[in-house]
Amino acid sequence: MPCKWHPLTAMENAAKDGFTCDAGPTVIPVKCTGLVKVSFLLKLFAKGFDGVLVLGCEEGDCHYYNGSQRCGEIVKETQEILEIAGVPGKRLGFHMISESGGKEYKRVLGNFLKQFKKTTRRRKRVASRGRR
Amino acid sequence: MSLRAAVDKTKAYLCLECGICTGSCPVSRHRDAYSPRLTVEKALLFSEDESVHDPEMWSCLTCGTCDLRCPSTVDFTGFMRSMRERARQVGESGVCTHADTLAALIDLQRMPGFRRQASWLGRGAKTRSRSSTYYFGGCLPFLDVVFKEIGFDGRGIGNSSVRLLNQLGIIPAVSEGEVCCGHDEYWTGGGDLVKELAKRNVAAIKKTGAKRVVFSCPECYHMFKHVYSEFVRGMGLEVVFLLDLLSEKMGDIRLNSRKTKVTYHDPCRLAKSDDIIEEPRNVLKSIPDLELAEMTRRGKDALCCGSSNWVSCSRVNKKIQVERLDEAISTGAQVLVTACPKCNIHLRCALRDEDCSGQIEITDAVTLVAGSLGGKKRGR
Repeated sequence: MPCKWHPLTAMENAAKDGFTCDAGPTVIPVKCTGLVKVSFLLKLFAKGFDGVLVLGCEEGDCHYYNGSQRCGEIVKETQEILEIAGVPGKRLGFHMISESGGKEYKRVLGNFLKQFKKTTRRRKRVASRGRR
Repeated sequence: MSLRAAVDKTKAYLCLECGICTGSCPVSRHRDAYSPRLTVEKALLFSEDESVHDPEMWSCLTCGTCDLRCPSTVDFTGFMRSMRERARQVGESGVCTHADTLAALIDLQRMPGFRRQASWLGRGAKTRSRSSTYYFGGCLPFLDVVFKEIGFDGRGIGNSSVRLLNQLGIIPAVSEGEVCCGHDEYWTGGGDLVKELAKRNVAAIKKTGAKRVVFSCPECYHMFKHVYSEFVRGMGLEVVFLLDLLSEKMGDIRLNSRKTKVTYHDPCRLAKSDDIIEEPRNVLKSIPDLELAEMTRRGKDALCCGSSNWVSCSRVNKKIQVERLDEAISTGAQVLVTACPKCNIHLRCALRDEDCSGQIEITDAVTLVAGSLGGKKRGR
């Protein structure tokens, strides 16, 4: 879940350099990671995603003043909720990446994906139920 | 259920338009647009289409004051629930508070592989995997995380409840399969989802061999007592509210003295629908040196905490909460005690409102009692 400003540009640059990811993650660009809510993240896990990596702009680079810092707090709160629900908190990652951070992105994604290699069990996707 | 069927089921046709409901309603007092009488009349006189799209329907707190006072015994909250159920079928919904986090928690708890960690109860709380008594914590650990910033201590309530049960010689069972009780989903018009949650909860509890379920949350208690029988046939579980159980056995527990003046806020589900009014007060009175000051509106007449089911939290709701807080502060009490985690959260939130006339400590009854246990560390 990258912010459309710097992290998405970093991802595009990495893709231009020929970077591909075998895990084939679903990319959900957001206008600013400050927009991300606890409910978005929880619903992604509830829908069957094994992990969610949120990528925000670096501190000071945020176009909306402090979006990525706010997202850091939201992620921390969500991790605590996930731990109670029996999901390891590290399955939800948060990193700040600059515009020129193509290499940084590769490293972060690689590290994040490492934890899933051990547990290949994939939860079944839960069909969306159209609540509220 | 069609609106016509809802009118028949809740006897809304008996309405005499006397207006006692609107006069009693805490929301109508601050919001002219909302009136229980008008809602019933609209449903009786106009087409169903007009009624189900009415946004005012989501303002109802389902506190039950109108039900109690209606001379024609119309089940207004039941009618409101049926109307919301119908509205949900045509795609309407209330405005979810807290960015829908609380509804997302239900989704999370239905996720395959969900295992509630028993460690949330913290230190000093003795539990077993099999026991004749089950402790139902409900959403407490999740609410603890979400409302940490306003100082709500959900884990403390769970920990205190289990420690008090231990004091009575009961080591309760807890289960990894326990999910949300579905109270909010039920009162906002949900049906199938509540049925699923009810079945999962009853199955998880039965697996532990429990015959009796103890609650520290009035809403979970309300669901098990009145609603689950609708969804699960032959549940066969005895449901007990913790403070009710404690009030009978307070003599068995030694408590340290606590020189404080407290006041007790009656949660709607507990006082209005389950008639548990004196029991929590008896428990509080058993703490040596504790002085209990009563608010003017108490018991069945108590004012609602102002917000419910995590829908529509507006200026009006804040006004109701501040009104209740002012009432509590005017008693001269230092501590406002309540028995419902949600009343605790809502009143805590309103305490930060600048219209509030002063400050008062808010705590749960079980936390207060467990804090006075002899030789034990005080809870937050």
